[in-house]
Amino acid sequence: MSSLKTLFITGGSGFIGSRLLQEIDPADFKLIYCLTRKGMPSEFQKSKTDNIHFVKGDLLDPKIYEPYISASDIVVHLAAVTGKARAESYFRTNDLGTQVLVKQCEKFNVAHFLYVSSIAAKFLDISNYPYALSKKQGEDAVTSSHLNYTILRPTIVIGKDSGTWDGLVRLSKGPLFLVFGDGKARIQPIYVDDLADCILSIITRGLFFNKIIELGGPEDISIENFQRQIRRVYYSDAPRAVHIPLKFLIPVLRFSEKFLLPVLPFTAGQLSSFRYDGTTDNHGPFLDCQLNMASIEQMVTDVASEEQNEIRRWALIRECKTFSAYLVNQTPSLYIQEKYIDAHKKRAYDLQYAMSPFDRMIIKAARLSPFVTKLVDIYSRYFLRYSVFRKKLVLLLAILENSAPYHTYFDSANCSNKALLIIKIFWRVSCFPFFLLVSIPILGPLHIGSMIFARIAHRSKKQWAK
Amino acid sequence: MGKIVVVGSGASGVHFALTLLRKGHQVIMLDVGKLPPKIVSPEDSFIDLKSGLDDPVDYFLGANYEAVIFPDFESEYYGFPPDKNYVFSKLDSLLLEASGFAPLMSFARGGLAEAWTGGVYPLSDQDLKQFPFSYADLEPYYAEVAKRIGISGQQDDLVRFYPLHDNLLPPLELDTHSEILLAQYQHHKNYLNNSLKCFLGRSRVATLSVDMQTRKRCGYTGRCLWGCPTESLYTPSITLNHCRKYPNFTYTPNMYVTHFNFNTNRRVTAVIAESLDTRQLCEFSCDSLALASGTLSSSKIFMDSIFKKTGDIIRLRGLMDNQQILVPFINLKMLGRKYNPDTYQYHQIAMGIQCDRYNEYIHGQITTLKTAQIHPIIQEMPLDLPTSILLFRYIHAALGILNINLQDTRRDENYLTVEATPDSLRSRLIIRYLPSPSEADRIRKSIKIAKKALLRLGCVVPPGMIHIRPMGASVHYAGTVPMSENKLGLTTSGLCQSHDFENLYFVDGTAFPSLPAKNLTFTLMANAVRVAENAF
Repeated sequence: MSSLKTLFITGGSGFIGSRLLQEIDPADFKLIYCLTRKGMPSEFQKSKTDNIHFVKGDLLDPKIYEPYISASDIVVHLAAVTGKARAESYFRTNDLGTQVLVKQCEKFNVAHFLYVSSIAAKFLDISNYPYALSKKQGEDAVTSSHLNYTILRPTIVIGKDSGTWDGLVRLSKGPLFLVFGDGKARIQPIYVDDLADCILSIITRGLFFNKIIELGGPEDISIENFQRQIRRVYYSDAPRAVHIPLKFLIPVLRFSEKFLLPVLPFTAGQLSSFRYDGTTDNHGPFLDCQLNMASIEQMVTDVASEEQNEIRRWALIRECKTFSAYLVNQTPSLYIQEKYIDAHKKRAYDLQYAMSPFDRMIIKAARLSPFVTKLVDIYSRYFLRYSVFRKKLVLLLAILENSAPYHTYFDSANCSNKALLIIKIFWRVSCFPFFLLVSIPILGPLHIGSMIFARIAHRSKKQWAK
Repeated sequence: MGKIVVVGSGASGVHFALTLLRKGHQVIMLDVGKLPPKIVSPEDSFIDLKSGLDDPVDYFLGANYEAVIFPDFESEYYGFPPDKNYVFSKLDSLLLEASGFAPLMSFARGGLAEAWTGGVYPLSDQDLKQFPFSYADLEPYYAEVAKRIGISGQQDDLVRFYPLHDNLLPPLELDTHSEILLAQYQHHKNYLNNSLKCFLGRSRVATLSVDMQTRKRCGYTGRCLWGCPTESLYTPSITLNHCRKYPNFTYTPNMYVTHFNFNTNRRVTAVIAESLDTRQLCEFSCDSLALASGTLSSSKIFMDSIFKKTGDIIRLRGLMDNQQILVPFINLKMLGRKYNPDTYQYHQIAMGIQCDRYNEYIHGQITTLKTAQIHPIIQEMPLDLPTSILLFRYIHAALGILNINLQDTRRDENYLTVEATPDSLRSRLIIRYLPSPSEADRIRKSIKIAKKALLRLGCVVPPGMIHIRPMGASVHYAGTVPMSENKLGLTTSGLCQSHDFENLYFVDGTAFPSLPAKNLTFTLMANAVRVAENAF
């Protein structure tokens, strides 16, 4: 008989769950069931799904997932409501949902249960922090069961697409460097991939001791300094922090939440992280693992660059769509978009490194619409012939002419009526000088200005070097 | 019979080797021999590839998009397809520095002609004026090579420039564009022949118009530029495969020949090659050595051998190459017609012009562009890109390009030499090329006549689109150790036997004393057969 086990994961498409599925080698398990609210996530690699099955359903609807629980050896409970939400919503999923799941596991004698809670569950006062309270109640449901369990309490988890990270970036990147409270609360951030590794390690090594394990990254830091680390990735300045007193803010927010939750940037409860230390007291079996975990500097740099890559990718997709509409009046297929992005990596020297500030500006402008692209193209045909902007257009042209069905657009048109042909050509060609005359007064001064600015900057750099 | 080592598997090397093998000699061929990628969907046509391949962009533009031609000061109208990258891929072992010359070297199995366009033109007595033999001496070898490789062509007005030899196959099927050009030529023949001294006819191409042994005739799939999938277009690797069937032939690939050893009697005793697998030097003893690795490589081996033995750095003067000019044109009679990609893609018509001013022959090949990449042409049009695309759709079928070749002569200021490097194993090849003072005037004059001729043929040349290619781009290199009747050092006999080492032969372009305008590959092959027949 096969010794491979069957896994049931809740929240497989979430922030931690998706990373966990990337880390898992499906060959190590007989079957992996993932309960998600929307079924299989589109970005999930199909090649990996041979023995991974996505089950669409709600935690509170056990009939849907009962057959899968009954066949599972280990349940990993990651599903949770986090970030900004109404208190009822936290309790519905994090508390009640956990209770229903635990009951199902008890019913079918699931061998092991891993519950991923939060370090917030141990904050001194959680009476006004519904998220932490719901997690604490979820923990209670697990600890009071007959299951063989482990509860993980990760500290603040950092990674791309994490709500906490996005909030901290917004606070740190703005013109004012905002810090809630005195900024002295200590945090111990853990990189999401390291957390996924630890979860995988618990599953594969069978570390189920009926205990609560607190898990954090290798370093602790004050929240203000952490925000400064984030700012340093984007800017070289070190601005004075503007502290917003929590004593004043929390009661105001708590009152406003009742009516204005959709428009508020965060909740009073979420500010608890700025008030209480979010560090661990013990690491249980993961003390050694900390040595290999990402340091704060590494995780901040990695996440920021991952985000930058994502932003660049979306910018290239938008660029590809606009340029394609301009060149062949068609929407590019996913294949064309991927090729366009791939070419930017493979011929980075021509398409990225050689970019002047003016190039950057006209490319951004051209992304806006095919009409702007037309103006820039006409101007660049004579005044910026070898620019990166034109190279990008030529690249897309090359990709389109070699891909079906777009290549047919370039096929010769059969036109037996020479007079009509000449009129058509004449009309199109005569539009060109008109657009050229329009583009020169718009782009010309900017072009000249950028050249003058570049020359002054170059001279002052030279003088400074001397 | 002695053991003959041949260096290089290009057009000269394989025909030299095959002739020797047929005579019963033992032949060892040393070659780097980079291999081509596998042929993709051989049954499919050019258009089928675009819609049928899983990743057509990878095939047409390359995994690293190397075939995308970006706007640049020196961009070409068409680049090499990614499938042929292996032909020009560089070798770490070769160090070189060039001035006034853009050298292209090949380490492919079959050499540079693996990426040629198949132009095969016999040299006339006027072309061979500086050679120690005439057309009559070379004619049997042209015929022999024609029999081996298959040449399509016909007797027409160009016979005055390309003598007619035996074993010529019927010409290939003409495309509509070329038919119109030839019809226009007939219409304006008087003016073109008498006033411009310009003649038009079918080009001679090493492509089969009928089946020949195991090779099939051209299937007109439109894939010539992307690599003939059926071996209808001849490449030297076909002859190499033929050679490998002989028991007296040893082919040793992955060998980069660095130099040869010679004794005090100035006889070559062994060839030294670096194994590209093990990076070890290997020694191959020989009774005779034939250098056939192309003018640059053969000259370097020769210079390095002398340098390693004596410490003398020599300078080989007289490097030649054909100046090439690309003249794109639009045939007005083809405007608005639908283009047909399922035709032969390389030149079907050749142009010969007798230029009185320099008393020289100007050689031209007309290619009607059909399946070349479109983006290099569109980006050069003086309009915004969508308008250029629209215009291009109407003129696609009407586009053509005249590729002009000009002759070159040996001049002392153009030379090859080597330079010592800290690595005792390797030297650096130095290439210096200076155009002749009259070069600019020759180019101008040639363009002027070509434009006049094209206009009379009903074609216009779009302004600003003529491209003068850099020296070295034609890859017709020759002349550094020329044939000479005087027994001077750094020259060869009429049978390409070195005057410095009695058992050394230069069977490639190195021994050519002049470089006519016509593509030299056919003559390289015929001359190699001549040397093999008469010297061994």
